[in-house]
Amino acid sequence: MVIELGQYIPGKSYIHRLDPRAKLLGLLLYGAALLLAPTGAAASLSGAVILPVVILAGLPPAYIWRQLRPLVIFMAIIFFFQAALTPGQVVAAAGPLLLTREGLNYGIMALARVFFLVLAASLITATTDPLALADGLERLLRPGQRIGLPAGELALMLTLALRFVPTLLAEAERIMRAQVARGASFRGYQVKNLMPLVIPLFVSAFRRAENLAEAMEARAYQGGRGRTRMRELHFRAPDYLFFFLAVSLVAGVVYYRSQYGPR
Amino acid sequence: MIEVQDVTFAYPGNSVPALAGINLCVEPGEFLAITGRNGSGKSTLARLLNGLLRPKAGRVLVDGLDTADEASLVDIRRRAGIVFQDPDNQLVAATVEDDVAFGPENLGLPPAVIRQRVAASLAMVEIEALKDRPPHLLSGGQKQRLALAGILAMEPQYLILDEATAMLDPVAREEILGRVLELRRARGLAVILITHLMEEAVLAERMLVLSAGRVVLAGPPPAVMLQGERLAAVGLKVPVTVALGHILRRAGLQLPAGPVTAEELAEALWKLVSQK
Amino acid sequence: MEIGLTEVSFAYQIGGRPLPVLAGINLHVGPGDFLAIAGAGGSGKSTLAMLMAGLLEPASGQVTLDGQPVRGRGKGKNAAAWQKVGMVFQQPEQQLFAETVAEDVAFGPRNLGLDGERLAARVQKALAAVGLDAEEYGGRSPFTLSGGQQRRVAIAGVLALEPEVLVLDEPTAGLDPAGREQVLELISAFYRRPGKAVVLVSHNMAEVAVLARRVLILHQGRVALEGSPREIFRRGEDLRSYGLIPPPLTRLMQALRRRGAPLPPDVLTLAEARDAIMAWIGGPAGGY
Repeated sequence: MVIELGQYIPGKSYIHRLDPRAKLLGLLLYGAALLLAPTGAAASLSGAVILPVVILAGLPPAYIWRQLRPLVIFMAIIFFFQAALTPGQVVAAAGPLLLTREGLNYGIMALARVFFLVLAASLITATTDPLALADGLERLLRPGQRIGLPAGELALMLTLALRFVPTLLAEAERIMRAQVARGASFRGYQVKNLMPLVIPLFVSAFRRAENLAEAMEARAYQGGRGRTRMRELHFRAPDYLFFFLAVSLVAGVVYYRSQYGPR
Repeated sequence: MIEVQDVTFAYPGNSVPALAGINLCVEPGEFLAITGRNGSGKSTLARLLNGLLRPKAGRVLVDGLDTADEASLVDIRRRAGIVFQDPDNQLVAATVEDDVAFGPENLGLPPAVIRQRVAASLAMVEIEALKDRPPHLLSGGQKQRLALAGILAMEPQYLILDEATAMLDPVAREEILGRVLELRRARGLAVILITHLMEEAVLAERMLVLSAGRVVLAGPPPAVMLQGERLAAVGLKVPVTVALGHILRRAGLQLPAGPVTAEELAEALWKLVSQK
Repeated sequence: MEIGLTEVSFAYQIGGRPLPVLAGINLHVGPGDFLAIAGAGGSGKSTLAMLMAGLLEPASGQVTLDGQPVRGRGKGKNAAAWQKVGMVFQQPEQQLFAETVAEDVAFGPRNLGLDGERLAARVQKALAAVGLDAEEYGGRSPFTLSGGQQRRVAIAGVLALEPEVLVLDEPTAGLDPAGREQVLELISAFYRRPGKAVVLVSHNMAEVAVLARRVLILHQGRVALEGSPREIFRRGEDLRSYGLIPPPLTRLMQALRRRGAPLPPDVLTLAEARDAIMAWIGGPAGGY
């Protein structure tokens, strides 16, 4: 009924109150650190620095689990392939399957990267109003306007997409029920069977888009020209601190890599 | 004042005009209802009033600003706001508060002014408590109040309601309309109500009946209500209380033709009895 | 076909927590019934309609068809019985998808396994039942029709299943007076056929007053009032507290009764109102 994936959970925690730009840059740097970490242990350790942030955000643990649950099988497969297919020093064997020290290292590394990156991304979407996120993105991309990047329009598109996902999901559910009432079956994945759902949904999405464009125009929207914002973004001390910590993490990983990383 | 001068309009690729030879004047503070069945051109007329559509022939002036003049459009839309039928398709933001801010933001107002207008508009429609909610979790009536707040935040002089209550249940409908009429009294806002519900239209000071893109009847509701046959001919029906008034007069009661609502008719009947 | 609900409750899961929608609902609808379900937005009336059409399963309690306990549509061993219950959703024109009107109406019966002549006959009959000529409209794209026509095509798509019980959720919402009357007329025509039953979800009390045999008023997920339209409108003053507005004639009678006029509270039609008022004014108070 209600899809929670990537949904904003309003709150007043330290993490909620950070500037969205700090959070977006933090995510970028955190991702870089995870990718640059040269060993499974290093990736796990640098990934684990997010745990205090998770606690500070004060999200319900059940929510976090629901975000990660769909990934469990995917992560298990990644781990299995990395662990089983990397040649090296054998530490355990089960029939034809050999578990090597190197495989274990790569497996943990892959696992840590996927797990922590998804955790970080869902943490940001959960603690940041999508509008603020789009705002932050717009302001980070603003320098790109000089080379013709429509930062404002991109940000608005993102906001609208987020705004309409729940509406269209509810609509899809309703249309599906209506067709089931006419004897339709949506079991199986034949495209032909999906038409009674997909076509009305498209028709409705287009109609909504048309009405929405009109309503926005009626509210004096003119492609972002002369537009101001109610929410002002201010980089404050906690934002600088957060940014500094993220930079430090990357610097630490880079240093570690230069000392102990792959030759 | 909104002046519609000899306006004709046709949608692209359609040879039959959606509106033809329309003349209309909306005074500041007036309450005007525009009715007609679906496809009569009433929604097209609504969109011409604030420059969402431009006339093929003729002119539309909003406080002297011509909607054909691209440079005046922002100013025109600030003056004439419109609330549409489906609230879902006019809400743009992830929270109630941000949605109300959208219009003032487009007007380029400073953040402090926007905040103050958002707070004031939410208070006017009494949904302050919902300001942090995502719009999709609101009820239909709440969504439509939000859409109304988004327009009020632009501080318009003319408020166009294009079937804005058609999807609501009767109580929510009564509440929204009641709120709008209170605002009209308090702030001198002109209200242009586009509706096919006669029960709503008769509340106006003046009504306009459209059929096939032309004005077929115009005047104060009690006068228009006397034209029951002409209304029926264009697919409309007088409210049942008006029909009852006609029937009672035909049966010989000395009932005046004025009353249109249930309360007015009750008053008139009671007076008739007390006079005896 | 008889639909029975015994002690039915329902809740949506929001954020892992149950949000109760309906509780302790008991009702029966059988051949010849015309039940109206009314209530404010959020009272649970659309959910109740879906439960009665097997599109949701109750959280607790029992749904029966002809006395046999059933699960939802497409589930369990008695699922085929649901074929006799048709459901028209709010704004059903939004479910149209086929290239032609005839194809869209044929979707349901084809899912039941009909084809060839029998299918064509069903489609024609269903279109006729909603006042659309199959010759003229059958080959047209549903998306080129007016809103009112689209709605009638969508209803034909449900009638083509030849249900015995027709459940409709706000079938006239958003239509203009002429479109509204056409839809109400086709519902009455369906109801007049022998052995049929109608469940009409509506907040339009004027519609309910003239069509329904029995009215059920929901308030916050529970049955607040139940009875004939006359019994319900006699309680005129209570309706508002359930988020409903009595029909104009009832309001007129209420307004006069408040002033002391000896008028009946349960007037449903224009003729009744005229007779009541003429009897009052022309009666003991003397002629004019």
